[in-house]
Formats: sequence, structure tokens, C-alpha cells
Amino acid sequence: MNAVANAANVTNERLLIEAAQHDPSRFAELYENNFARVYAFVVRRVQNREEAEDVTAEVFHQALAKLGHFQWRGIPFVAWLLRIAANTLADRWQRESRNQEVPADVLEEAGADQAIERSAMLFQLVERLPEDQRLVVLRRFVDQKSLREIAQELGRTEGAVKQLQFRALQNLRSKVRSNHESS
Amino acid sequence: MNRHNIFDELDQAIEQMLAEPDGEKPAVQDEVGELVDIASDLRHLPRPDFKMQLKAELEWQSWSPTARSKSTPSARAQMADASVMPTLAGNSYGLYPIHRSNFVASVLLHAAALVIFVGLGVVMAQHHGEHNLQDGTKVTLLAPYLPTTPGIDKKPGGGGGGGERSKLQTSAGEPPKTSMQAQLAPPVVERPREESKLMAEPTVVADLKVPDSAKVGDQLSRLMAPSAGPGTRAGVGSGSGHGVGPGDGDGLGPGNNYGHGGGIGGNGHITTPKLIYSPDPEFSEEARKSKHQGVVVMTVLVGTDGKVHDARVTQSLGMGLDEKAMETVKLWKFEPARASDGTLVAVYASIEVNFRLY
Repeated sequence: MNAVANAANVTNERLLIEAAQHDPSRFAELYENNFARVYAFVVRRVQNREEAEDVTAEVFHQALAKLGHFQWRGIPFVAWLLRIAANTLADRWQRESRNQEVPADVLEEAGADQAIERSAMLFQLVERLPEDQRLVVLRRFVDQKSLREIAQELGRTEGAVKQLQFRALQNLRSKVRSNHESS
Repeated sequence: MNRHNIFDELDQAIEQMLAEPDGEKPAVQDEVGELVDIASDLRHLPRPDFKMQLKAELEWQSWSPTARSKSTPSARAQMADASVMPTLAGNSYGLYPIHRSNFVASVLLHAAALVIFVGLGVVMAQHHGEHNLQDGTKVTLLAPYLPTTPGIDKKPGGGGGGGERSKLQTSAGEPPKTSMQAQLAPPVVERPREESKLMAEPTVVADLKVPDSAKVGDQLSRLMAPSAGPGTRAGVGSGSGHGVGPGDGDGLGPGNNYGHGGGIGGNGHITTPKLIYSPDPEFSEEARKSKHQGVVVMTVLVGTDGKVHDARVTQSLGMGLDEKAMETVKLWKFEPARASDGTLVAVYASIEVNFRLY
């Protein structure tokens, strides 16, 4: 059953790429499907949100510009994007410190990294959390606000926000587990 | 173990990770350990508006090949290298050399066409009455209430206020009718059940159009229970007098005497902020699945920099669309409001965010 689903996904992706090659406005769908994994790959290496956003933007701009040169060889599209990301990071690091060697893990085969898959899955799952839990996660981890500040903003008690934070992480854990079991 | 202890332990671990990003993973008991791992990954969660912004950029570049090739630093570096674009100078094999005069004329013609195109666009935008960029977006100035934020050093107009020494804040509503004639009756939140036919109509002394509404109150309040506010002398609000708002007098807003807008007496005209950039909001998954659409009405504080600094939902649509609207309006850009002397002022405005499925 999984093999059939995978084959359908591959065909679907191939059709999407061909559509985007003819009409670049269709690139948005490829972007939506691959954003989380590219971002997760980059942020794991740079460990900094701002830089990760900068590099991720550069990767997708380059991908859109070079899409016409992409040739389908049965390799997932994300592998091509991660290759662009690795090259972009290597270029950046070489530019920033010409004398330093490029960290080896930038050039490793990126698609196999389970930690990236897990982070990407988490980033996507946050979008599907119940709204109050999602807001708490965004305020806490993206805006790095204290529970007190979040409580004030949402008009709730600090205890209620603390509980929402716990429920959100519990929710994410169970979704990660069930996704692992089904894959 | 007590649930509250677990909540606390988890939060302390998160606090520690956020404070020391390069520190070791906090030591916690097993039940919390896996959640801390997840929290560790979430430290690098992308900003939701970044994803939307990048998508908007890519969509724009997908139909603009010029912008696409200039969008990244590496591409810009390539552009600087003339050998990458031999056709521009016509110096490649098999190409006719390009005359400099023709090239200059071509550039000038294109520049002139671009100026006309942009100029027409600006003129059309300026004469487009309701400032609609996002399809159907309406921006309404909540005029009497200039926020007391830094950067507003000069407040035009006057103001007024009052109240009935209520323990509650002023309830939500609109200002009463305005008139520059002498006030015959002060505004009231709750009209007496049996009104006398000879009873004068409540007004405030100001020269300003306000929306017709049967419910008198504070436009910025969320309180639904009727309350004239904690102020004194029979008006509505937290001030003193026969007006509405936090000021003292018979007008509207935070100033004194009469009029509206803050300051002492008189009327200040404040322009409505104009919407100049308004990307469409994304649908939530839940709303898309159930084909839920409509309008979210929000009260926003438009700063002197044209950005939205504060936003809250005044008419909800549910299914996660309120939050999507909240995220989106923070990306919107306005031409800031101006006082009659041309000073930029921060104002509260009511805006409508449309969610439509096509």
C-alpha cells in the first residue's frame, strides 16, 4: 500500500515540476511541499533563525531561477533543493572566512538525515495545532516571550498558558509518534 | 507526580534552553525529557510571516524574470560580470555590435515608459476613494481616539469625557451624534425606559462625522455590559464632563473643552490612513476544508511609520481565520494619517479583512 502511495507521490511531484517548468506561477505548490524540509536542513546547520531564513529564501529564489535546467531522474525534488542549500551554505561560509575550511556536514548527503525530517515534520505539525496552543508555541519559541507576557496578551492566567504549552508539546509528541508509526 | 510540578519543570527547562541556546540539555525526568527534545527543535521554528512573505516574493518573481534574476546576492554578482551577458553589449560571437547611441535611446524610452506607467498607477491609487487594495478592504478611522504613544508631540483639536463613577470601564459602542451647537443633553449609554417627548437629543460638541449607532460607548472597549465608565459629571468615559472619552469637556477624545482629537478646544482634521500594501491572508486548513469565508473586522493601531503596531479582532470569523487575519495585517503597510498641519499621527482604525474562496 505504501509503495503504491509513494509511486503516486512521485508521479504527482514529477507532474508538478513539469507544470512549474512551463508555468513558473505553479512553483508555489512545490514551495509549499518542500519549505519545511529546506528550512529544517538549513537551520540545523546555521543554528540561527535569521540566517536560516536568509539562506532558505536564497535557495528558493535560485531554485525558481534554475527550474528550467532541472531534469527529472527519479530523485525527489527536495534532494535537488537540499543540494542547492548545501552549496549556498558552503559559498557563504567560504565568503565569510576564506581561510577556514567548509564544515564537512554541509556537503553530506542531506536527504538521509532523520533529525531534519523530524524537525520539518514538527514545523508542519505546529501549523495544525489547535489555535490557542499554536499561538502559545509561536509566542514562546518564535517571539521568545515569557509565560507572563503571553498570558497578558491572550488575557489568560499564567497557569493556563503553562498548561497550554504542556498540552501543545504533548500533542506534537503524539503526532510525531503516530506519523513515525504510519510511515 | 503532581501535574503542576510537571508543567513547572517543563517550563523551567524551556526557559533555560531559550536563555542559553548553546548550553547543555537541561536534566529532567523521563516524562518531560521527550517534550524537552521537541521544545529544543521548536527554538528554531520559522516565523509564520516569513513563510508567507517568501511565498509572495516567489509568486511575484515567477512572472517577473528580471526581478527573479536579481533576487539573490549571487545572481546580482553574476549580473555585474559583463561576460555573463554578452548579448547586452553585442560583443559575443555571431552578434552585431550595438551602437551606444541606440542603446542609450532605448534605455531612455524604456525609462520614460516606466515613469508614465508608475505615475499613472500612483495617480489611480490616490484617487481610489476607499483605499481598497485587498479586494473590498475598508479602512475606517476611529477618529476621536488618538493613542498616547511616543512620537505624537502635537495633538490637534480638543476633546471631552465624562462618566457616572462606574466601577466598570466604559462599554463598547460608538460616539453619539455630533453638533457644533450648544449641548442640550449629554450622551448616555442606557436611555431611560420611558423617554419624554420633550427630551433633547444627546450630542457631543464636535465637528466630525461618526457612524450611526444606537449603542453609545467607547469604540476601543471590549466590554459588552452597558457602563458609562468611571469618569464624572454625567458623560461617557473615564474623563470629566459631558462628552465621550478620557478628556475633560463636552467633545470627543482625550483633550479639553470641546471638539475632538486631543489638545485644547477646537477641531483637528485627521486623514484616514491609506492602505498601500495588503497581501491577501491565507486560509486556515479548517476553513478551507469547510469552505468557510467572510470578513474579519479588526481594530488596528496604525503608527506614524505606516505599520500596524497593535491589532485586535472586533468581529470574529472563527475556524482559525481570526489568527490568519492577525498575522496578515501585521504585514500591511499604510500611508500614515496626518493632522491638519501635516504632522504624521498614529491613529486607531477599523479594517476589514476579506476571506473569499474563488
